This record gives sequence, C-alpha cells and structure tokens, in this order.
Amino acid sequence: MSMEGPKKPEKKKFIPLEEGLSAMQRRMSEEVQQSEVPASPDDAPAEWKSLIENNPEGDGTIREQKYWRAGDGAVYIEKRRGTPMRVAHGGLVDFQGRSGERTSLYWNNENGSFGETDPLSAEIRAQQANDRQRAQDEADAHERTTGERRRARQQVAAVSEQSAGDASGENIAGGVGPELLDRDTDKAPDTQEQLPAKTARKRKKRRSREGPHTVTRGDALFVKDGNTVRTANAEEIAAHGELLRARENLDSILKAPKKRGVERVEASPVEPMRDTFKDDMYEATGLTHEELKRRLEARYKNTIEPAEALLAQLAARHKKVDSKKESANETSAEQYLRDAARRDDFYIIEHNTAATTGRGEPSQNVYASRAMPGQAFTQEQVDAVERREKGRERGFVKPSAESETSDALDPDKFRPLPLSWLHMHPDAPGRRFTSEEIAAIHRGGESVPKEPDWAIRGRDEFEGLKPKTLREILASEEDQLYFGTLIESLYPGGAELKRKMFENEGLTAEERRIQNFARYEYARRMHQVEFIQSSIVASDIEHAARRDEDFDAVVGLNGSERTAEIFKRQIRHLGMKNRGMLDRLQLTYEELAHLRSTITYRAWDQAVQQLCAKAGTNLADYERVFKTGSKEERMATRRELQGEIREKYGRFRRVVDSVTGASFRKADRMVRKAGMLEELAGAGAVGKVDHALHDLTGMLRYTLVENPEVVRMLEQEAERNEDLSPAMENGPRTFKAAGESHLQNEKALDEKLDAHVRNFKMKDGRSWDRMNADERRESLAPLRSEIAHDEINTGKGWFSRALLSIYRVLFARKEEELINRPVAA
Amino acid sequence: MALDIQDLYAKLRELREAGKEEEARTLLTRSLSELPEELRAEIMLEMFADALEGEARGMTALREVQQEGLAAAALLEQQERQKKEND
Repeated sequence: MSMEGPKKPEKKKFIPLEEGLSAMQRRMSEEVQQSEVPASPDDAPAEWKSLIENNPEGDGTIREQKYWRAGDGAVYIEKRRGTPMRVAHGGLVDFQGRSGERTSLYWNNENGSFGETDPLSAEIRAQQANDRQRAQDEADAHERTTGERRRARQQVAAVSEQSAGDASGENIAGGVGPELLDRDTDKAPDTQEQLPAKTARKRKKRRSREGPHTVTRGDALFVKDGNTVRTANAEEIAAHGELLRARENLDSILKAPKKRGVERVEASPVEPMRDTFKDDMYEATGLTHEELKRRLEARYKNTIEPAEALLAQLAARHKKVDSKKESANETSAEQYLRDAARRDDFYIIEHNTAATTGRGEPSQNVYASRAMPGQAFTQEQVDAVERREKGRERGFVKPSAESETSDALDPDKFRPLPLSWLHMHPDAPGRRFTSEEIAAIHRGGESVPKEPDWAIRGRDEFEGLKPKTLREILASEEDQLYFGTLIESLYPGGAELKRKMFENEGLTAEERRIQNFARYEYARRMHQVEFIQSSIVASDIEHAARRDEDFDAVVGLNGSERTAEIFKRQIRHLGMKNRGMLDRLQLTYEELAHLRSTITYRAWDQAVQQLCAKAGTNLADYERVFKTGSKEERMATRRELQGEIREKYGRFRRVVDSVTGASFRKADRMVRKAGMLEELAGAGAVGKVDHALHDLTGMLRYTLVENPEVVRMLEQEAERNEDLSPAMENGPRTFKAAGESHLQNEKALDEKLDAHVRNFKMKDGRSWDRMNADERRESLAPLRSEIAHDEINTGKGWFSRALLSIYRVLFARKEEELINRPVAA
Repeated sequence: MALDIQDLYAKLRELREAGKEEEARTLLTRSLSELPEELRAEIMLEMFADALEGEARGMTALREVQQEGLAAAALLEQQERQKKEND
C-alpha cells in the first residue's frame, strides 16, 4: 500500500464535531487494538488497509499521517478523507468544525474514549523520568567518592544563589511563622565573632556578595540588601529551608568516612564487565572502528566469523543479567564466572592480582571478550584499562593513561593464558566449560576433569606391570572380590559391568576396554597395597600417635600392634575403593624412606657429638628434658620442649643467617650478617665463635633424635620462621570454610538425589515409582560416581575426609532405600 | 544402644558449622569404636596418613636444620682457625 497519496489542493469538508467524534469513538473502540500498533507505517496491519480500502464513505486519500516511536512500541495515526481516522493509543486527533474552529483530542484505548489529556505522553514522560533516574543512579554509583561532595557543594551554591535571587524580588511579605525558620542559626547577623570560625568565614563571604541575602535573628528570617532589611516572604523562607537542607546534606557527606578505592565487584559481579567495556571497545582502546577492524581481520582472517560481525558484538553493550548468589560462601568473582559461563557469546578470561593471589581468592578482575577467542589481556593492559577507569571515576583521565591503552588490543601483544585459566576445553576446541566444571577448577585448582581415558599404552604407572588374566582373577575368590570392588568404583557404570562380567554376559567394545584397563589398575593397586602393608610397622603408628592426640586416643583402644594389623587387613579393600589414599600413603612412605636414608641423617650423629664436645655441651640435656612416663609428664614435656625449641630455634636461625647468609633471607638480615662477620674477624672473635657454636649445638642436639614431638616442633618452627609466604594451597583454608564448602556439596548431592527421584523418567515415560530396582540403580550411577570419585570438595585434614566417608555410607543407605521402594503396579 | 550414624553425622555437621573443630574431632574420636569396622579403619587410616605426612614434613624441616647447622658450624670453625692463625 502506498502510504503517500497524491497531494491535491485540499477541499475542506466539514461535518458536525459531535457527530464525527461519536462515529470515530465507536469505530475505534471496536477495531483499534493497542497490540496492533505498527513499528512503521509500512507495517500497518492488513485489516487496517482493508478497512480503509473497503470503506464506501472514503476515497482513500490520505489527509494526514503521523508516526512516532514510544517506548517499545509505536504510535501511528492516519487520517483519510471521508473516513474515520485510524488512531492508536494516545493518538492526537485534529478535528475542524464547520465554523472553522479546531479541536484536538487524544484517543485513549484504556477507556475507549477521547480526552484532553494525552495518555501516551504521560507514559512517555514516566518512561523518560525512569530512564533519567536510572542514569542518575548509575552516575551516582560511579561518583561515590568525589562526585557526592562536589554535587553537594554545587547544590549549596545553587540554592544559595536561588535564595539570594528570590530575596531580591519585589514581593515583600509580612511576618514569618517561627516554625519555618532556621533554628540552628538563631544568632544575630552582627554577632559573628561568637560563631565558629568556619561558619563566620562562610557568612562573611556570603555577605560580601553584592545583592540581597537572607539573615536570621532569633526565630525570624530577614532579607538584607545593602542597608535595607526587610522580613522574608514565603518563597524566600522556602528557599532558605532548601538551603539549610542542602547544607545538612553536605555536612553529612563531609563527616562520613571517606571511601577509598572503587567498589566494583561487591555490588554486582556483572558490573565490572560493564564498566570495563563501558561504552564500547573503541572507547576502551582508543582505536577507531577501521583500525580495530583492520587488526582483527589480520588476526582472524581464517576464522569463520568476519571481523565486522565480531565488531558488532563487541560494540554492543553488555547486558546486565539477573544474578543471585548460589550460596552465602560464593564469592562475587565466582558468582560472576558462573553467570558468565551461562552466556553463549563470551569466553571467560581472568587474571590474578597480587592481592587476590595472596588471599588465595579467585581474581576479582574479570574480563570477557568474544572478539578475542583464545587470547587474553596482559597484566599491563589490564592495569592500563583499570587506571583509565579509575581516572574516569575521579573525573579525569591522565594523558599517559590514554596513551598506555591505545594499543591495548594490539593482537601482536596478546599472550595465551594457561588453559586452566582460559575456560575453553583444551581437548575440544569450541566447547566451553560448564559452570560446574569452572566451579571445580576454582575449588581444587586442578585441571579440568576429563572423560576417563582407558588406554593402557603410554601410561607410566602401568610400566613393568604384569596384570593377571581375567581367568586368573575369576579363579580366585579373593581376587574376584577385590577386582569387583575396583570395577564398581572405577566409573559410573561399574556395577553393571561387574554384574555382566560375573554372569558371563556379552560386553560391548567399550566395556571390554574398561575391563582391560581395570586389570592393569588392579595390578597397580595390589602392588601399592603390598608396598604399604610391608611398610606399616608398629613404631610408625606410635610415632604418628604422638603427633596426633586424636589418633593417639584411637590407637590406645587396640594398641599399636593390633592397629597395624587392622590397617594391613583393611588397606586392600579400601585401596580398591579409594585410590587417593593408596597414592598418599605410598608417596609418604617413599619420602620418609628417602629422608631416613640420607647421608646427612646418618652422618649427623657423629657430627653433632663432635660439635657438642667442642661447645662444651652434652647430649644428656635432651634426655633430661624429655620425660614420657605418663600423660601428664608427656604434656609437661611437650610444653617445655616447645618453649626451648622455639627459643633455641630463633638463635639458631640468627647464627645460620649471619654465617651462611641463607639466600632467601631478607636484605636487612644480610646486612646484619655482614656486620657479624666483621665482628668475628675483630677482637674477641673467638669468644663469639664459641658462643655461636654453643647456640648451634644447643639446637642441633634435638635434631639427633627421631622423636616425633621434636620433629613436629621443628616443623612448626620452620614454618613460623619462613620469610616467604607458604605456597597457596588449594581448597578452603579454614576449618569452618572447609566445613561449609563440604556442606554445600553434600546438600547439593542430597538435592540432586531427591530431584533425580522426582524427575527422572525412562525412555518409555515411566517414572521412578514404576521403575524396577535394576533400572533405578543404573539411573543413579552418575550420582554414585560423583561421591565415589572424590569429586566433592573435602577440604583439608583427616576430619573432613572422615566426614566424607561417613556421608558416603549414609548416601549409600539412602540410595538403597530409594532403590528398594515398592514398584507401583 | 547402637550408634545412629545419621545422628552422629548431624551432630558433627552442627559442630562443624559452628566452627568447633576440637569438639567435633573429639566426638568423632570417641564414637569411632562404635562405627562399622570398615568405616572405622578408613577414618583411622586417614588419621594415620595425615600424621605420617606431618612426620615427613617434619623430617624435611629437620634435615634442613641439620644441613644448615653443619654448614654454619664448618664456617665458624674456619673463622676461628683463621683468627687464631692471624693472632
């Protein structure tokens, strides 16, 4: 339909106003729906066109058409000769009466009538007001530190001006009600010497201005203009009140503690990304569209997506997502990553700052970019962007910061991140990690959990092993039992494979591969088990018990010999279920064996004896100190030993530092060391050497023994005296944090189990109630596997792992109970 | 009365949430003998492995002390000898 008809000299046709209104109102009520508002005149609904074209009263000539957008919709009005106008909600209708008078009325779909007020305008105004308010809120959030103060000052100044301006008006009123007056400034204008100096200065400055200004005396407000004083009128009183409120606002801001830094992540984890790419990438980088396009094309000429499409995505503002924390423990950065992981159009890139690394937290500075797949900002680039942002927030941008970011996106300066940081699957390009996988990376700091690889060749751990054949395994009841346990715990479908294997059912190719892998794994674990069984001796258990009071109490129930026997008996069964424990014990025993066999260890006895003789001390001190006859004696000894070792360790370190200058010590200690060496070379050096030797031997005699108490205290002292921060360990760092983290996982598993039972359906549509036990068991395999493979975070220490063990037992019980529920008919 | 593992677990969780590590450990240690043998052995092995690892860490610290001490003593002796020769 042509929307523009031929323009003819208009011949006015007048109809009575009331008649026209009535006809239009009727037709519009029946035909015009707000949902039909077209996006453009060309998109006018077909029925409109039909109505117009088929209207016998009209000739189809367009008299007037109007079109404008409002909010998400649009308003379209057209007037045709001889026909009622098609007016959408809020349309303005001009009508001209016989005598030439014009009337403009608005159509309101809500009540199906014309009126003098424009309902759409009200909506638009409200929308605009909302937009302004939102923009203002955002601006406020970025100017919390400096902006607030500046605005408040400006407000005070503006209101002061306004107040002064009002006061110069001609309308002078009579008396003023005392309730409207400034009660805090009830000082006479001429008593400024009694006011605080700051207030007096302000008043003086204000009075020095030309023109009228307000003054208070008692409860009354006056306007002073030169030598003339008059009573303030109502407007001036209102303006004065406004000024006082503005002042109070300023005072409250000035008195509030100054906020340091920029709060970015805490309020909403999505904000940093919006801030980073505040307007678009061009602004962030300082590059022009053409330049950025050229660079991207050069860089990604072989990618599927053209640079123009990448740029379009890049320039688009990042949408704010509705986000909630999944748990109280979730940090903002984790929350952000989880949200970001759900988005399809972004790869996640992050970096650690020194501060967050030190705290062992995930990075708070997270940047995302679709345009740079597989690439990341360098630390320098990120720093430059941050400096620029901070500059903006403070109202200025340093020229140097501009220049630093000008090449922030130079592809030549990109460096790839380690795969553990870049959340893109290493083995499957294009596959992004799920939020659970990302969470797992953050929890454990480990590489991404992969699908099991059942290959045998190329595995170091299988090197030199001679696994039993399946026939050999099945011939022995014991092997059958342990091998079955291993298969069950190996992968989610382990129970089913075990059943098929022992019942001689046919296996799939994949199952045969797993079975073959399991034979090697079984041989490996049996080898470990034998090594550990031969290593566990009663003396080790006694040593361990002396290190850990809880363990001591447990060993006390059976004695060390019996405990060793229990361990040897159970380690085979537990090892088949829990490879982690076998690995730990094997590594620890190997390390201990190595430590105990070093030359230093063996040569030490003789060396220290010589030192003791030289320094005039003897080894009997140790025996005298260390009494272990009863529990009380042991506790007292421990305290005494702790104090002595602590004291001696400090002196020992000082001597070692000063003499050997251990390289990891701080520079000031090196200076002290140099000073001491000079002293040693000077007068009285022999005595100092003797003294130092004495300190050394005093400490070293404790290292002669293999007493676990001593070893533990030396370990503690060594950790306490370490200058460098210990390496960041993965997992929760406090007991409480570990507990809570663990708890979350347990809760999640419980919820998963419940949800599974509620929602799971077989392919034929049967729900849990109608599934048989085998089907139920099989459907639960993935969940069972999740706790069997230590995939939930256990935190550190035996207690957390013990809780997990208990939880596994409870989970198995619950699982059995659910599986054995009666099957519905 | 037989130990209810569910109850024990709930109490341990409660203590853990309250951050009472010592109490939780003590409760578990006291209840250990009432747990099924396999579970008991598993927990005891965890304790043992932790203590053994601590022992290895301590041994490492001890070896460092020994090595540093020997080196320092040797240097001191050398200083002393030189000083005596100079005198």
